[in-house]
Amino acid sequence: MPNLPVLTSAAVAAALAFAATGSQAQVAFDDHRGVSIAFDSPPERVVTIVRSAPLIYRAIDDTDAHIVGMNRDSLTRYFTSGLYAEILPEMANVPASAAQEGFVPNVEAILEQAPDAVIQWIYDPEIIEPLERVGLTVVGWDCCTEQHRLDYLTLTGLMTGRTDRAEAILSMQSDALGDLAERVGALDPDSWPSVLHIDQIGDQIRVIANGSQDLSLSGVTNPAADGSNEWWRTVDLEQLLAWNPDLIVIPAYAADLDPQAFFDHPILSRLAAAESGRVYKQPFFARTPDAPEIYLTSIWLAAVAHGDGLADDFRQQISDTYETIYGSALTDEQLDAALEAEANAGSAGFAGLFD
Amino acid sequence: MVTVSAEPRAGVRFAPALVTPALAALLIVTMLVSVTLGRYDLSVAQVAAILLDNVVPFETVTWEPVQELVVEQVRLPRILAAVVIGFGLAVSGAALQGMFRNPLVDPGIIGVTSGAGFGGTLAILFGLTGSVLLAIAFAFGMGSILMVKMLATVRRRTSMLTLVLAGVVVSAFFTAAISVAKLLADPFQKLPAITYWLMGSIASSDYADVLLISAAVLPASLVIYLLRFQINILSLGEEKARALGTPVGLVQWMILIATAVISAGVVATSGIIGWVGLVIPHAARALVGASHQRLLPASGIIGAIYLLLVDDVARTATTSEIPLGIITALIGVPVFALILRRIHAHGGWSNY
Repeated sequence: MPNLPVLTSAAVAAALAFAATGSQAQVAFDDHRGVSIAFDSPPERVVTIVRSAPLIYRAIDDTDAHIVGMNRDSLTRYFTSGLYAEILPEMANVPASAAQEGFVPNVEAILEQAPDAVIQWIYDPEIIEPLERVGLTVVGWDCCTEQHRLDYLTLTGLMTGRTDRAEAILSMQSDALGDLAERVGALDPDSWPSVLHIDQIGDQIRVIANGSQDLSLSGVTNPAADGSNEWWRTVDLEQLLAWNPDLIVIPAYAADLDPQAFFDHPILSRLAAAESGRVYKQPFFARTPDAPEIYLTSIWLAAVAHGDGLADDFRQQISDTYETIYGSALTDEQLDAALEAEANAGSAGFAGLFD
Repeated sequence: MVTVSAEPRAGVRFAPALVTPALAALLIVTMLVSVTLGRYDLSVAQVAAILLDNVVPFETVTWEPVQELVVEQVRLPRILAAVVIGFGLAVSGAALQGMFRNPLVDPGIIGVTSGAGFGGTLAILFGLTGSVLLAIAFAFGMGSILMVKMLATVRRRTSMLTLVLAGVVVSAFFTAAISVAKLLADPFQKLPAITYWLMGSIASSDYADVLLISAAVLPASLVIYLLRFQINILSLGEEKARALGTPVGLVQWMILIATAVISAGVVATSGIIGWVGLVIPHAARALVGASHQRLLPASGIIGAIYLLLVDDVARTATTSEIPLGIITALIGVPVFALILRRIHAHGGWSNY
């Protein structure tokens, strides 16, 4: 199925107007397929198959009361341990049998929850058709551009009837990134350091070649990027030495890898980034690129690349962000955990940047 | 259908005694050229100086430490790994083709490749890497040959046909088991790691890996070479071999275990690299004839040269590392098709 144009602000405005004109449908919008979705009232029972959708829905809806099912991967990835499990403990009780493998829906398990709507990816009609065949309403999400991610919040705002929260979170994001753009704009682009995101260094070395994060927001370049659709690339040691990045970032999802592994590696320790101690584990808020707080990652990266002038009082900003999005301010211990303070203890300048 | 001819075939094109030394010289030249190739920008003169410095230390060093690192710690171990693996796979393929009297046999037929592949997959699935992965893959590889032996032995007798069928069965079982493991793997981290590993790569090889591969390949290859005359006799057929006094069962199992050690060792350290053991012995046979006294060393050296060239392509063609199994398959399939046509045109496969 071809990707339809992403949800535009005009379409959102039209949908909002539609909801306000006294039509019978109180909730109406077009999903990423362009399919018109309408409910008399915000759905009471929602099942999510998209992995990060429970987080987004919980954030916008400001309650877990309407999420009645999720992908097992969502449960194990986010809600059984770690920061989300601590601040959103109620999410671990949501039934997690909506999908069998990957995003293939477990139709009978979903029907058992009698949902009003199911949130599903649109990349393959085969994973939507079984749901619609049994009369379920599917809200389709496309992946994985920056605009798509903003749309997740807008669509969820429309779906939950909490456009106020969606707009508040979106404007918090755009204000923070606007401020960052101003600060990064003052830097000489020739001074931007090169950064490689490396998530494996064992039998294979894998870098993120063309990820969805806009690295220019943080004032850094990616020597592996070539504008293709190749998200990850497996490379050899020699290619890494040829790129010789100024900074190395270990993605937050790479649970088994930390900066010390680079510092201890007989060959990788000779990279400029490792020799200068500039290898960092990404903070928790980059755990999923779809999470509403993902924009903090750009600020964090700008800070480790250019110094603390790019992220004043960052700990407070993190705590405020989590309080706004999830209704839970973070403790000092949780902030340290979010920043991967333990893993980054030996990385250059980390303690001074985020104390 | 390939026919197997027992008729002697005259006319080997090259003087066999000269072929092996010539191939060995070609291998050394290929290794020297390979060490000058790579993604890191190094001139031939710089590489030559870095290498010579190990033999005759220079008073003034004109290269950066990182350049020495690239040549000695990145390229050289990888080149040595390619040579040892190519040698081992080709020798085991030649031995098995002779023993089974079948040109379509390669080390994968006895189930070891799939068994070791499943062991490695299981290790990655459980987050195990390095020496643990290697040990598990090797153990499963050797375990699969034991399964094949158990399935193929009835009343203490093993027929070659049953052995091949048992190999196919065990291989199919472990292939299915690999599919189950891939189904269960985390799609972002472990599934790509499993998929990539299964396609074969020596990108991260260091000297310790080379030692480990050598520990599996070299003694097993030596055992196979020591059995070269028995393989010649076996290639005449089991009945003739028995009539000539060859302990057929013992020799067969020694060859099977030696080839299993090579395959399990290679898969454990480098993933599944197919087609080398199937194609290379045919090329060697065309050069030196069917006697395993010459065929085994020639196969081994051609296999080493071939895999070295394949790895040169894998590491230099693009910024991405191309899995070796993909290239060996892309080259191996058409080459093997041509070889089959030539065999057919010349009246069948020769055991002489």
